[in-house]
Amino acid sequence: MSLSVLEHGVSETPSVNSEFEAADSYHRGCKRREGAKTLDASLASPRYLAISSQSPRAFLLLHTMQSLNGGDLEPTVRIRELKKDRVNFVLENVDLAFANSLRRVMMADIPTVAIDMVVIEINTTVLPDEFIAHRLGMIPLVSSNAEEAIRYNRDCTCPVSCKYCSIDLVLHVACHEGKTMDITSNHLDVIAPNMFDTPDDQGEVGDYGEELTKRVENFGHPVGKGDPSMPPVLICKIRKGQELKLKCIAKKGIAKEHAKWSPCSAVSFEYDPHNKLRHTTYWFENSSKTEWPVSELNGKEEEPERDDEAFDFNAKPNRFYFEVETDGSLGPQEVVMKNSKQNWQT
Amino acid sequence: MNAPSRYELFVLDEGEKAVEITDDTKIPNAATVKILKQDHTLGNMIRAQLLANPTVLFAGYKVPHPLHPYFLIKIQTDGTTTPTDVLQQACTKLIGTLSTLEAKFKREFSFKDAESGGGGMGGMATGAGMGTGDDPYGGGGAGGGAQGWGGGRDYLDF
Repeated sequence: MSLSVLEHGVSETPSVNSEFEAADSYHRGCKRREGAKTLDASLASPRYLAISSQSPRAFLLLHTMQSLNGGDLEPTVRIRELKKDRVNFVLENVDLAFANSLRRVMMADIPTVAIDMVVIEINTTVLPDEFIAHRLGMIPLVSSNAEEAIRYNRDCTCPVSCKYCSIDLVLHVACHEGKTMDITSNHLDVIAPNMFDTPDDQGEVGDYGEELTKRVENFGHPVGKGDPSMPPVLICKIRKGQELKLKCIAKKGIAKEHAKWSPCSAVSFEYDPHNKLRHTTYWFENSSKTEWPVSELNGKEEEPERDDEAFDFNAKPNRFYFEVETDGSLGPQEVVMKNSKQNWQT
Repeated sequence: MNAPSRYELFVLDEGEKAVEITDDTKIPNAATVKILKQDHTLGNMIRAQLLANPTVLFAGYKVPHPLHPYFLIKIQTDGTTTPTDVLQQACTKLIGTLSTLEAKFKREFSFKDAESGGGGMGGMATGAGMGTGDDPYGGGGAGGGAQGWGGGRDYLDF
């Protein structure tokens, strides 16, 4: 029986942070597509196109905004599609830098819960301890309202971890049958925190317990557990006589620390589908037209450039197409809403 | 063993000031602001907002080293305002934009909930899932009570 404590090393998975450096201030980004996906063309119904971006009320506001905002229009949002795990929206009248910040915040600044420490008691599977620990860390856990429902372990007064700053999960699977067995995220069980015992080192009485009341029922459970329509995450395959027994401690964190805390699996971000801004005038092999794939859905939102149209040197991107896909730890609604709630300090 | 904690890249140390302003010694009405534990997300946004202000002659930011968690923002104004003031204005404006955007998002999401009709609203009422209507994984998911995605009580009061 081996007993080892593993922490997800920094070197194991590159942090999302390093990927971000491409967004430099001095060169305006070229067409950026992350996690490019094929979008359903049927969604671009003319109904959406007909909605005007200006309501009469917004027009009234405009005058005040103009004096304050240097002539900028008020930002508008149009949600094109909303599903359980994804949202597709168009953002208008904002700056490119602003839209990009939005994207970055959604990817790396929203707290979620993920397994951070693993204590392995028995591991007779074919996979080494580190391998399993790393896989466990990647499993999305339900983190609704993680902002308030759990503390950061680093801010907590407890010595190692407690119910206010962590969630304990256990897994114990052994195979006694003559065929291969899957260990999946469904085998992970959350140990319910004891609501009544008070942590002995809790100084202020006022705020303890506050976190627990803000948790949803299945907070910290692996996403999709108990939902037969969702296939679980495979951790390991075992054969007869093999066993895996471990305890996990899940903590709150953000993806700047480790990508496992990102609530998004993919965020696609596009502007200027027809390359009217000519960000890549010289960057083609034979023809800039044929080598610029116009996205099916977003291409219909804007008029393609006419041949007789003169190039507008002062044009700026102001319409941004987002598709935010979450890993299930948070709903897309929550991801987008939390976005704006991130406190910017002055 | 003695590696610094990873969160030191985005959490201010005790007693550490988030913002540090140094006036430029050679250029009039110019200053360099050092913002700790922040990156391109905030830097580029502030830079762009500053440039929208006609009194700002120059605004640029840089992250001097990718391993050092701070950025510098250089601002020069035309003299009618100070760099500190324009920075403050820019931040206030950004916060304003964010809150209008939040309201817009809220409204849009509530429309989407209403549009998706009975299923979605039912989901909201019973507090299951996000109440988003269309079910990409076939029926039954939203009604799954606490087992729904991001489920449980609906504390998000959209």
